[in-house]
Amino acid sequence: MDAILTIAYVLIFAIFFWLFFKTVNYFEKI
Amino acid sequence: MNTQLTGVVTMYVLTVLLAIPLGKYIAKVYNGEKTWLNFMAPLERLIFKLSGINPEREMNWKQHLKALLTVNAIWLFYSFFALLFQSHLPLNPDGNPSQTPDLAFNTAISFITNTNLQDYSGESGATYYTQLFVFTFLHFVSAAAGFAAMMVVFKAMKEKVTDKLGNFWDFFIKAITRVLMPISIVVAIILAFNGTTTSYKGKEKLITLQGDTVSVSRGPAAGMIAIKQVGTNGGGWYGANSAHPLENPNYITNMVENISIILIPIALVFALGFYLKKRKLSWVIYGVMTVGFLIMLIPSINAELNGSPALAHMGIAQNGGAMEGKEVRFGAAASAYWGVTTTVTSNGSVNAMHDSMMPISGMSQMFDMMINAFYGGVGVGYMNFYIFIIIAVFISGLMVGRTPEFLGRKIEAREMKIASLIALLHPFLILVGTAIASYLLVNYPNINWAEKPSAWLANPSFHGFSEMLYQFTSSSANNGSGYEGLGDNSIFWNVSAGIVMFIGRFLPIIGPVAIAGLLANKKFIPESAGTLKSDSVTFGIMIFAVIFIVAALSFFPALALGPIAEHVSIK
Repeated sequence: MDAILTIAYVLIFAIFFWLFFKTVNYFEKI
Repeated sequence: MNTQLTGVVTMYVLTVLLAIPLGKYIAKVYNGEKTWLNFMAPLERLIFKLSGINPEREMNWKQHLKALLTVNAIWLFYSFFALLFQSHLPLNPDGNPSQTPDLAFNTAISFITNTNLQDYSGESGATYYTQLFVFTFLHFVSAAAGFAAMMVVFKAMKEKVTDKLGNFWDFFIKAITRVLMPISIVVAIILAFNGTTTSYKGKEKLITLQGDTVSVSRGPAAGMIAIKQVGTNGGGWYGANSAHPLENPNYITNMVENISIILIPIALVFALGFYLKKRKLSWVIYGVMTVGFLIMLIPSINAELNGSPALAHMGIAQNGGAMEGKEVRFGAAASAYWGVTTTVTSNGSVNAMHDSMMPISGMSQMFDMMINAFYGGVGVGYMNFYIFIIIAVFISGLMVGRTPEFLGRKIEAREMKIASLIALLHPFLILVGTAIASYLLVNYPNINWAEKPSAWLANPSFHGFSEMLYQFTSSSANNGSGYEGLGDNSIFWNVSAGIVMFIGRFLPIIGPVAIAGLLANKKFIPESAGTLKSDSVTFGIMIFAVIFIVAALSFFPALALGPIAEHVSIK
């Protein structure tokens, strides 16, 4: 269970940072 | 004036007296002028050399943000895994266990976002390794990251058309070596000489006067506590934070810590004026922030000094004010002052339990965090205020029928779209989060979770609602203080508050830096008779009105359901 949760949280980190990087580009073109 | 109020006034006056020269010094550092801390230059050069960084390489706003996000991603993964495996790492004399994945998720996000919401207790939930090499490390670097982002905004406000806005790593390292570290060393020495622990030994067993055996946690705490305040972080060594006698031993340390909380946020407002050579503008900003600060502070001190009406009805004398959850060595006024300073600055450390304070104080503290721009956190406070400036300039332009301009740059649709998104994000995160929690509590109180929603709240009714509202407000504002009646170490609260902290940190940095960078690239329009003067009292009143209208309209209904209803109910 802990291993699954750990992987899920790492994925959440990765998804949010990806979104933040995308936001930088989005704000340039908004 | 009584002794309690004298203490509060002394703290504020000393803070401003220190903040003005500190602001001048910060402006000199970032203008490349000589300062007395230039002897740190070889250390900075060594760090750049070892890291393969050329601090002379100019970056545009996007490169700044990408550098900031990249390094934060590395810190996050490192912190998460360090907390997950802390029991296997060195410097664990008390044998504390590793954190669970959801607690590590919350804690790692909490510290990289400068929030320091602590769903664990430092004595049992962390080791000396994680206290020093995760939390203290992140205290420095998260504050410095906000500082560096703010310097990009400052630089972009200078009167020239450019996309070259300095070097992120240069701003970042200098924030640590020239500002955060020197002040922290002074504060740490004062704390250590007043009784804050600095030992690497584990818990000590003591026999009390009653004959009980207690284990007193120790550790190298003084250094962490210093940067916790100086960097507007707030995450303490002990679970009780600065209410703990070893974290904040006496009134002198209380004054030093409280001054440290708002020193840099106020200094940065003055630094803006010295840096841009627009001192009047910084006085206008300081004036707006200070009026807002006093509007929150005075009712809170008044409520705490007058004591609880519920106790008064029972005929109990409250000569020292409302003392539930407070430390006798600080008193009611200094606790209320700390409560407001820690929430206006996104610090989040506490010297008394906010959950026990009068509803008016609770409302002040929540409103401070909802506005999140009266002084604000290191760097990010000014950036939040910058969003309100952009909105105020735009509305002023519409009102007088002129193209909105700020410091010689036209505010157009793109900047307004970004400013509006960022201004709406904060209420969205707080209100939607609280609504979801309230919905679950009411409709699924006994759902089959490890921690059932029915067990979340220590108080029913209005105050229970305030506990949930406070948690999301504190998370979104990256403050970190909490109403301790909320059982927050559960998967729902760890994950939901973690996500809110995450979004509430990075988008409000990306937005202002993007606006500043886009504006710096625009043609500079010299001031003329038709220019809206941004350093006038009239414009200050306009910003103040925008802040209050945006915040009041967004948050008043939620506050009415929590602290306002509670205040009326105990009268």
